[in-house]
Amino acid sequence: MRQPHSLTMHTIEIDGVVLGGDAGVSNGTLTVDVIAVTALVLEDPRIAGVEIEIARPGESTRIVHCLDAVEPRTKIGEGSVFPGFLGGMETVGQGETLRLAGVSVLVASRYPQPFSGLLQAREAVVDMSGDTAVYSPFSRVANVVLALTPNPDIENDDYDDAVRRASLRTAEYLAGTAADHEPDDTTVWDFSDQDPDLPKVVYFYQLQGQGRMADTFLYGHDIHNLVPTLIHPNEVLDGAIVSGVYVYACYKNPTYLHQNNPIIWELQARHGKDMNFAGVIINRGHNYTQADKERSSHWAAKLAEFIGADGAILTAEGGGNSAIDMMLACQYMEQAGIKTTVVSSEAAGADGYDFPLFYTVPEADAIVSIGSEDEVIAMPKVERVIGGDTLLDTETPAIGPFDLKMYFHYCGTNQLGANVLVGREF
Amino acid sequence: MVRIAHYINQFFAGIGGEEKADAPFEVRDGAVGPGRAIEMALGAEGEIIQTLVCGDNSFHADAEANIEAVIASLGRSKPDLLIAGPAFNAGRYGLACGAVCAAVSERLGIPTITGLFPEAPAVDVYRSRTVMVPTGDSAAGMKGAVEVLVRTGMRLAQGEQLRPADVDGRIPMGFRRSWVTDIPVAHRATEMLLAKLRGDAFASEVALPEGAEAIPPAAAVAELSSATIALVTEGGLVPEDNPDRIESSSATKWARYPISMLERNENPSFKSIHAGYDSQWVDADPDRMVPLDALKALAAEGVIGGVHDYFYATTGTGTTVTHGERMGDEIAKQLISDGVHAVIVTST
Repeated sequence: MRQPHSLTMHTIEIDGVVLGGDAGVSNGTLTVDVIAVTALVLEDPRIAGVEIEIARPGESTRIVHCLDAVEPRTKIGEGSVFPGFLGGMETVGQGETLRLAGVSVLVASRYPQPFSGLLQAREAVVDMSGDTAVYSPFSRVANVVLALTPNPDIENDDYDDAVRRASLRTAEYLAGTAADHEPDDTTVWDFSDQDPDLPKVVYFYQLQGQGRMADTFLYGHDIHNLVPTLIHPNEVLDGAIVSGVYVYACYKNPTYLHQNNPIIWELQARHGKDMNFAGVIINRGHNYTQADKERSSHWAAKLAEFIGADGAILTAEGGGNSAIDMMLACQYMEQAGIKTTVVSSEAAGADGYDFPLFYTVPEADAIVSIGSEDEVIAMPKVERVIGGDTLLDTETPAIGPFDLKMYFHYCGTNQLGANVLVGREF
Repeated sequence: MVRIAHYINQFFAGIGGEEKADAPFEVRDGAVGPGRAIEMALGAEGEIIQTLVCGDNSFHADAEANIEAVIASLGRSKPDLLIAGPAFNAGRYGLACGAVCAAVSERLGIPTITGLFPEAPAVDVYRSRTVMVPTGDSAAGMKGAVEVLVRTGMRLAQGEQLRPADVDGRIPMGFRRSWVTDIPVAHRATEMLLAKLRGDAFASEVALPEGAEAIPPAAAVAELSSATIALVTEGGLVPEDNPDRIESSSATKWARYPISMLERNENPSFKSIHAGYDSQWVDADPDRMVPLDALKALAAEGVIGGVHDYFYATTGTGTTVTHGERMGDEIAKQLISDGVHAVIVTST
């Protein structure tokens, strides 16, 4: 019988990626079979074309139109990564999984039809080297970029699904090419032993669920009607959560960072040492009404109380609307005696003189900053651009130079804590 | 070698104390008074090429003329850096240092630095316009003050970027900016939480705001049946070509449009340029954002006196408080001068 809360993760460290014909891993180098991946992606008639390129750290390379990034993973034995999208409908977080560390499958594309209003795929840029590399965590991994061309005859919603399946299927395929390779590390993740002498810490994990182009998927289903729910950290790390958030780039949480959530990694590493990792409460951000916000936030605080949490770390996804949901949850948890720290981006204006937070509660006295989303960054000319020739909306030549607001830097102020920026007083 | 100009008052120039506070502006070659200590700290890295001296009273008696004299002098000598003071906790001297530094930075593009006691009156006035380093409250702290002035001043003169105020050892200038750290967010968040759980001291990376200003609601409209009502929205509803170029987010502009134009809603038709909500239903029927139809019906029934001839629009997403307050003030003044009695503000 399977141990339901135990996940065995095999890691192969990848320090080089090349395109070639002989797929698999050798001496730390992943060879991507271009013909095989092209054929896999083009099985979907909603995609008219794909160009596969590698963007490596240190190269004078810029990636534009980034939609999602996924770490290559495959299940060993039973099951499938990303259930709800691939394989059958079952839960993950147990059994054995193989991951290729240091690589992302990054899908870049325009959409076939024009957008209107809020819910549109917006520009998202990664620079792989130079001073501007600090504005995306994806400058620090090798990206297998799938630059897609849509079938012009289909609707955006349909294409959205095609984009997501292309990256997930490619990620599973690439990990599968290394399935018989000896892993560099094997770790069993199991949080069932709780030390009664250590404080219990819960993770309040907000997911954006605002509508198409700003959706997150839980086991293949959007989260519009999700009430705060307990989920095992292993499920998150094993592909239960898939991103479809393509709006403002600086604060979206791509699938790769759900699979490698830095907060979960940290709590897992400290479990049993100076705290107990008591669980994860996923919840929808961007609830539309005040009543819905209070309902969701009270519910999350109640769940944290149920599991006996002493403390909580809270993260959000999105802008001001989502910040309100997180801050209310902070308030209700503190009122229930649960200590909190809140991770927040800053919006003090381009010159930094305004108050930096969208919304606060007096209980939010422990805030960790992930930097300003309002600054404007001077982007240099680069040697190579992947994903498109011009930027979305402005149609500025993507090769540069140009000025780019932080909003459009891919995960520049990532709310899961994947990037390196912090807001400071100057 | 870095060429430095130095500004001091009559006391530090050796002219005299309060009785000489009306000493006029003058320029001397080389270092004077504390300038000699600055040159000692500079060593071979730099020199003071000239010292600008002005009495505390005479500076403020005609600050404009004295600043013009400073600008004219430094415009000719073109130093790499201006150091003013240090002025410690002095009132008039500190304010003169701040004013001179601000003008030289802004008009000549020359980096400037002064040293002040953190609670000196000039700090709040000029902190955003010149670099300041903290000093003690009296000249007894001259040696330490000179060292930090020179260390930070030389960085500025060599064109180096500012670092966070505590890293540079500066008085904060009042703005925040992103900085690169090698301590991961998750680690900082967990450390802060565990400190909080233990009851240990911890430092939030963002301070909570001062209590917000309370806005009392306006008095109720006494005679609704004779009141002119205006419509104002932050929903981004504009003519389709957005003639006033109102931003989709982080707006700095507002505009007003005739309600006759909105009622016609063709050539141009209206649409929302707001980037914070799904505007397709507003585009299909702008009354959903700016309820002109309902208000006109109430006017026809005599419930209200009339609808104001213009509606006002901006975009309310990512807008800073500073711009929000300014735009609200401007719109309110215009409405009052047009004789509007009450406003319905529709929000997204």
